[in-house]
Amino acid sequence: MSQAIIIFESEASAIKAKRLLRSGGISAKMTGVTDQRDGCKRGLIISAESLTNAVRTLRDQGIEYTLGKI
Amino acid sequence: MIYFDNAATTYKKPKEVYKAISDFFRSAQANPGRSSHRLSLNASELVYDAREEICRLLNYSFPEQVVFTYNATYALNIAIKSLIDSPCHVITSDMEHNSVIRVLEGLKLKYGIEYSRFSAKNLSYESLKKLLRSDTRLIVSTMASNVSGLKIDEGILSSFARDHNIKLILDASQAIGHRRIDLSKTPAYAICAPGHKALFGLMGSGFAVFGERERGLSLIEGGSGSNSRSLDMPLLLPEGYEAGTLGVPSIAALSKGVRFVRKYGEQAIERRLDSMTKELYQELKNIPDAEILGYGSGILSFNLKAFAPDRLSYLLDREGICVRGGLHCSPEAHSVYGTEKTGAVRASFSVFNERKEIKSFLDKLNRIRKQA
Repeated sequence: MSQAIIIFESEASAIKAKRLLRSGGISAKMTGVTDQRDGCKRGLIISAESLTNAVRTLRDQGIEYTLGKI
Repeated sequence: MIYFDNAATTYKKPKEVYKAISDFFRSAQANPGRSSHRLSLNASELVYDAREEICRLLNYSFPEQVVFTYNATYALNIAIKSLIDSPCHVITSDMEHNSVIRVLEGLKLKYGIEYSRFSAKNLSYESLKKLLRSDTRLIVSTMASNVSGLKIDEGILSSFARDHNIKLILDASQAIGHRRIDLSKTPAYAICAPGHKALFGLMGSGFAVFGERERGLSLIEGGSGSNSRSLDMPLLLPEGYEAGTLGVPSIAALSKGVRFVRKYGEQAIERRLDSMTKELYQELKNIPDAEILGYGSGILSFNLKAFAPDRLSYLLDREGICVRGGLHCSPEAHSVYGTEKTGAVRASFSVFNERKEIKSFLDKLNRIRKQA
């Protein structure tokens, strides 16, 4: 199953997003991400099929994110 | 032993608090926000759980704006100093702890700020208006005196600050845990609190809940686990104010303490503490040589004419009773009560105290009086 990663500036934002997505039935696993430009961040790994729903949920809640590559 | 020094720190903790500490060492003994192995992520989740518990307690929707510190003093320093780097005017109360007054005095020396005090006993919207100046930037106030237990109405402060576009910082050290605080009704720039008092966490824990997502001036810089290539602290909270490794075991304990308070109910706790302080007051006022400064918020401070407060505290300790004598780090408040030279003896309760302890306290106090 292909996966996608959503990246957050703040670990607290990542956990908030993870709990939000899980409450909406989207499984998300947190991981560390080392971005070459900005240093350490947190990412949420989700299935590629969930990405559209996940992004919509995060936008609705005003949580800032970027999409990364796995 | 009878422990009546709960305003300094609570002695007995809910059993869930003790368990949280041992659980932490088994399942989350790693540095949150740094590594991404399972123990580190467990620690991160645990810290976030605590942020959420605090938000539930305060009816607040932004866990990421809960910033953990090492005590209320740290929280107050971070909050106050995040706003001030130039001359301005600050309004504060006449009941402040040194954790506010010394900070303001430091800013007075550094930046030439000025501050005015309102009378906590006579607080009103109008009384604040009389102190307002065109350069007033901040109101910082305790929510209850740690000397007399006098409660200060945060609703008046919040309304005034909002109407005049002034930042409000509340020191909830002697209010949180035994008084309902609703940040949705009384917004503030920051509310600062210790974890180890009426929230039953461990010493070394405290927090500030901020009303804004982005930080102001940073007080302490260092590793945050994020934006590591940047030479500045992250702009977003909580990391923006949380430099260095957090006190995770104490945060784990605090989380369970907060949950205990929510389950018991702050209003139920408040009723219990009010009834105990009132009972002690009713008995003490019948003692002819007793002078009572005030009571409330689980606190009652008094003096016996024949004894200096430090001497009386010492004699009570010999009888197995723990109270605090002296100035309670609040000389300003003691000035209001005319006890600035010697201070007073403070008895302070927690929900774990029992009524029979009050009777025992009075028996022993009377025994000491007869020795004078």
